Amino acid sequence: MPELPIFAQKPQAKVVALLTGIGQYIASFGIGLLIALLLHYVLYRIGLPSKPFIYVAF
Amino acid sequence: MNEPNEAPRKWPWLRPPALLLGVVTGLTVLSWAGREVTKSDWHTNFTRFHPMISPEAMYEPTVDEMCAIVRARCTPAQVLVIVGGNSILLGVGQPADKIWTQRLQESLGDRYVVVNLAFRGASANDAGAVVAETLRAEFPREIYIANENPFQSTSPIGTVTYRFALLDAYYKGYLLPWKPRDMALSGYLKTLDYRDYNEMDHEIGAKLDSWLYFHGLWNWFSYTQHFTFATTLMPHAPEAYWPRSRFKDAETDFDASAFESRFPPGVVATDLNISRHYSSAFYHENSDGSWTEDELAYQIYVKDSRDAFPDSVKPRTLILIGRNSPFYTRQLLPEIVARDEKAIGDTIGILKAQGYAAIGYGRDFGVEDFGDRTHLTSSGGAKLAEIVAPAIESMAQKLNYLHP
Repeated sequence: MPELPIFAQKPQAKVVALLTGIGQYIASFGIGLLIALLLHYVLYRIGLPSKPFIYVAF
Repeated sequence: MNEPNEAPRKWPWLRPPALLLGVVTGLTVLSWAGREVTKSDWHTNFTRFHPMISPEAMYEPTVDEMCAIVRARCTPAQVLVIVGGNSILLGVGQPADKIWTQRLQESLGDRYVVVNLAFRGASANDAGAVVAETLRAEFPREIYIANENPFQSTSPIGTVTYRFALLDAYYKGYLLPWKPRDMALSGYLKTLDYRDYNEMDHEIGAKLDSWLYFHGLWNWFSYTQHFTFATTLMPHAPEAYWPRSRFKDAETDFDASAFESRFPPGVVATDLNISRHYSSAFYHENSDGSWTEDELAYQIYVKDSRDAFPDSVKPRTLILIGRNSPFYTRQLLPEIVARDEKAIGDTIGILKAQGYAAIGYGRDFGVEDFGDRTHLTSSGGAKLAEIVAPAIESMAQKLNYLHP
């Protein structure tokens, strides 16, 4: 059964739909934050040399 | 008319606009955090960049981070003395409490602040020089010290190992325009040779970092919270993941190791050969035993020393030209020693003609002042400080740094 537009739903169902929608936006936003954190770290890691500098005195 | 059926979304609850907003917000906040943390100094008890906070242990300090170290120790009213150069000026073989820069600080007194930003294997215009140039306006009473061998050419863009600092400052707009450097950097970035496909392109990386400050933030995290990966120098848990602040400056003490262990036969043979040829590439021997400089080598050094630093920086730059340990030079023929002395004198002359300050060191040092062929023991470091301190005071006077 197709989901009714929010204005056509019963008040309780409206609240549930609204909260679900907000929750989905918050979850999506949170995942975006995690992706940003991961991306930021990956940029740092691949910005470092692939091998450490080995000091040889001569 | 029926609408075409849309394929079911894999994550129907995911809201792409919110996801994108999260990514943008996250990167903005992290970039801001990276910029903010590097404004303050987190290197408490800093004496120098010991191996665990150096590229040897995959730790590349940012220029902002190094500037914060300076700002935490010096005020613009004091004369800032930044020590760059290589392991000799870093104080390899001198424990933190006996390091030569501490002796230099004691000789100069409170009016001066000495900060050691030398790195192992660095050239005169590597990271320390980049920081000095970055802080030129903020600390108008500034002197930069580095070291070289006689006729040692330096690229305007320094060495590959420490080019991260140059690129960092360059793309953050901290450096003076200097045509030889700009041209060398442009040429370097155009060549494919430097690229290692296991790591990020240097140009793209430095540009991205100038916006996103990921090196600043993750260096802070690595130093104060946790290091995030194992390295060759520290391969095993849990030490590999300790914050780098937990590692003290544990430089070995030349004075605590036996002479024979520092001068084993194999090393002596190699170092004696290096000493014998210390300046051989730059001179021809005349029939009367005197030496004439090689014209091409001479011209190359004149050009390289001219291009190594921007003109306005040269008068506040002191280059130290070192000698080898007398353990080796005493074994050389007198004419070879004379050639080396001429090379040191000629190098100093060329540098002074370019506008630098330059002095030699090591002439009156004894065998006990060297830990190996070139590195100094604590006593050698103290003698170096005795030589360098009056040179700095003279420069400060000449540059009019001592007026109230």
